[in-house]
This record gives sequence, structure tokens and C-alpha cells, in this order.
Amino acid sequence: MKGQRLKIVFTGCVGAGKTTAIDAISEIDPISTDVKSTESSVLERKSSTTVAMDYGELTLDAETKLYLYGTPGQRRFDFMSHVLMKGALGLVILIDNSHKTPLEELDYYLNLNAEFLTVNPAVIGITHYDEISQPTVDDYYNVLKEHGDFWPVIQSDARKPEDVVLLLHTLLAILEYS
Amino acid sequence: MTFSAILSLAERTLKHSWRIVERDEADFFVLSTEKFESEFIISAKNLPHERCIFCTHQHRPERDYENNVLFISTGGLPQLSSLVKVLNYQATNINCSKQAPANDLSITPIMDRHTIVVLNDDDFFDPDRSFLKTLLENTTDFLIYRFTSPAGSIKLYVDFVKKIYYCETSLKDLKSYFVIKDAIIIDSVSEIEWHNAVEQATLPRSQPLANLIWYVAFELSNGRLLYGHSDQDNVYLTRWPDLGVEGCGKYIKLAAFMRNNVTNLTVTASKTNVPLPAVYSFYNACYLIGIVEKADKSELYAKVLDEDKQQLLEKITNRLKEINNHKEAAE
Repeated sequence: MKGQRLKIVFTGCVGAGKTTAIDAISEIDPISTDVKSTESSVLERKSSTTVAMDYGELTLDAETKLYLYGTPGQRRFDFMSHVLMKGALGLVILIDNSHKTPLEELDYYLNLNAEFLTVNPAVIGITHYDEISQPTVDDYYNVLKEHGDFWPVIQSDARKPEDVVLLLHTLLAILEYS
Repeated sequence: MTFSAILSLAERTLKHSWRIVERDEADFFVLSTEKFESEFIISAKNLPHERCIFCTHQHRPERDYENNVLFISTGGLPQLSSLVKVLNYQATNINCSKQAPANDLSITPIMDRHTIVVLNDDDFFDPDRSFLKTLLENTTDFLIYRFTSPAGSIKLYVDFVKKIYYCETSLKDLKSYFVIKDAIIIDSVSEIEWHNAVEQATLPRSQPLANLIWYVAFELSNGRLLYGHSDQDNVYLTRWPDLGVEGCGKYIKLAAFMRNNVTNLTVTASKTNVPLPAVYSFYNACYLIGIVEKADKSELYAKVLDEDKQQLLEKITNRLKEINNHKEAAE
């Protein structure tokens, strides 16, 4: 495994907190490709958005690093997801609970990454749950059940390192036991 | 044959007189667990670490025996020579805070599950004996719990219709009230009264009732298995518990294992290296929120990770722990 590029990918809709999550735990200043947004669907949620990827790092030892990648939230950049996902250990899907259709968003990202998820694990982080508690965690589990997926759903605040760490710890546990 | 019978056999070669007593009178405590997995029970039962005696099934050369570890033979009883050695050492070298007479020492076995003593009711967790009963029975729609102590009071508002609760503080802060006798007053109120009370209070956002039940059940279990349950039943999780609930995040591996395997709790403890008392508490909490099912057969999906990958996962885990430790230190 020495010298191998180890990576975990954060994906999800615009404003779900992918850039923030990477920023919360990366030991380097994350490299972000945020640009001022022009798309109305993005402007509704925030002023800038990622167009290529976010990138952070965690050093494991002198020879090994864990790379953290964030995909762009806008769907026209979905091709980047497939590029970034190659060789990843697993996927963190962040869903903004205050989005107009958060359950459909989860459904979308499960479909988009279906091939990857047949052999790799995912965890679902629900952000902005403190702003709006509907849909509930149970509702997300129902979406997963329809897909035949059994990934854990965890309420997360992408600003809090401990919440992001919990998502990654869970991903590792699935890698170990399932 | 029981622990007391072995103690009688050992009497002739013991330097002091030993007798088995109730926990409150004991100078020493025998834990049936391995030393390395005893921290949880010591902490949960608030035992003096230096006066705990542990058990092991791993036969080692006699010179390698530790002075506070009893060797348990295949029959499930302490080996006579090991018992004599450990008790003689303990009586001579460990000071008892109670200043017990040097020739008369007492001992009590804790959480014994290796047939040393017969378990009594108190060794199991019975939710009906605690305020958890009111959360589970759900005989009324709206309750307000008042947790009181000389230091102040905390209110907890439960809506059994929507299955949510509001609490003035974090669940962790409620924990200390669980063990105070008569600390909890429960008021059954009308829907209007309940909503008025919630509106007038300054409260964090509502949380699922299942999270409250999980936390209370986990904490009150104290490492004891749910009354009427067997640790030999094959069980599995039908879905994940909320890993964000206070304390639950420590058991991610246990949750992942139980979500992906069907087996009994003793095997679960051994496969995950989680102490059995902690597995009991976790199981109880998950069972009481309805996410455990039993199965006729064990189905273990042995995932064999190669050494490199195992080491890699450990490295990542350790690095993530550093992030949390660093944050805690900063706070």
C-alpha cells in the first residue's frame, strides 16, 4: 500500500457542506475551485460554488497520505465525480436537509454512484438538520431501503471536525466489517 | 461447585481468613472479565481499581502470572493454586481503605458469568425498575420529566405522538440524575399544557424519542444484559442506531459488525474486541428502540482484510482520533 494514493470522496448537492467538511479536517489549507456562481439554482443557496473539485490532505505517516476530494455540486459537472471516484476507499454523501427536495437528492446521488457503490461503501451525512428536521432520518432510510442499500445515515454539521470524523470513522468500520 | 467452595478448599493454605460478602462490605472484588476488558465494568460500577481481581482463561507459565489475575480452568472455576497465590498477595500488599482486620478479609464476585456464582436478578437490566419504563410504555401522550437535585433541576419534554423530545440540556448532563433516588418527577399533561410549556422554555431543537431511549437504556444497563435475554441468542441490527447520540459513536465498529453479521453477543464481543458488558449495554439500547432482530442461525460474513489494508485502516483511524483529541484539548 506504500505510495498508493488513498482517497475518500465527498459528494452531494450544492450547499450540502462538502467544501466545509474537507476544510474542517484537512491539515493543509484546502485547495478549492470555488467561483462566483451565476446559475440561479446555485445562487438561491450560496454565492460561490465548486466547479472542479475540493482537495484536502491528512498525513498518515512519512510515506502515506489520505487525500480528501470534494465533487462539484452542480450537475453539469457530474463527470468530475466519476474521475475523482476512481480508486477511492469510499464515499461520503452529504445531503442538505433544507434543500427543496432532499430525498430526491439522495436518490440522485445513489443512482449516480451506483456502480461505485456495488463494491465500495458509503455513509450518508444529513446537514442543516438543525434548521429543519423534516424529512427525518427515517425518511432517508426509506430511500436507501428502496435502493436495497444499507448505509448509515448520520446527522452532521460539516463545520464541526468531530462530526466529519464520525462520518469517516463509520466509513472505515464498514470497510472493515461489511 | 461454586467460587465459595473453591475458597473453602483454599482456606488451609491462605494466610488470612476470607469470606464472600455483599458488594458494599467487600474489601476486594473479583471480576470475571479479562483484565484488559475490565475498564468498562470498573468504571460503571465505580470499583477501586487497586482492589479488583481479574480472571483469565489463558494459561501461562506460572512465573508469568500477575498478582491480581486468577487463572480460570476449563471447568470455569479458579485454579486453586492461582487463587491462593493471588489472595495471599492481595491481603499482604494491598491496603484496604476500610482498614479491615488483617486476618479477616472479604471478597465479592462482580458480573460473574463463568459459573463461579449464580446470577441473581440484579445482574440483569430490568427497564421496568427505572424511569425508562415510562418512556417505553407510552401510556400517555405528553409527559414532562423534572430531574431535580440540590444543584438544580432540568426539564425534559416528551411527545409520544410525534415521538420526539426536547431537553433543556444535553443527555450527558441528565446522566447524573439517573442514580439519585427520587430525583425524577413525572407530570402527565394535556397537549395544550405541553405545548405551552415547550414554548415558554428555551430549548434546543427536538430530537427523536428513540435517541433518548437509546441513551437512557445504554447508561442504565451498566453492563448488564436485558432481563429475560440470553447472550447466546443469534441477533443482528435491522438498521443503524443514530451514531451521533451521546456515547453511541464509541461503538461504530460494534454497530457495523452487528449490522452485517448474525451471531450471539459473546461471539460479537470476541470478534470486535469490545468488552462483553459494553456489548450488553449496546444491545439493550438497540433492542429497546426496536432495531434488533433474532435469528435461528448464526451467519458470520468473515471479511478477511489483508495485513496491509488492516494497517492502513488503523493508520487512518488513529489519524482521525488525533483530530478529535486535538479538538478536545483545544476546548
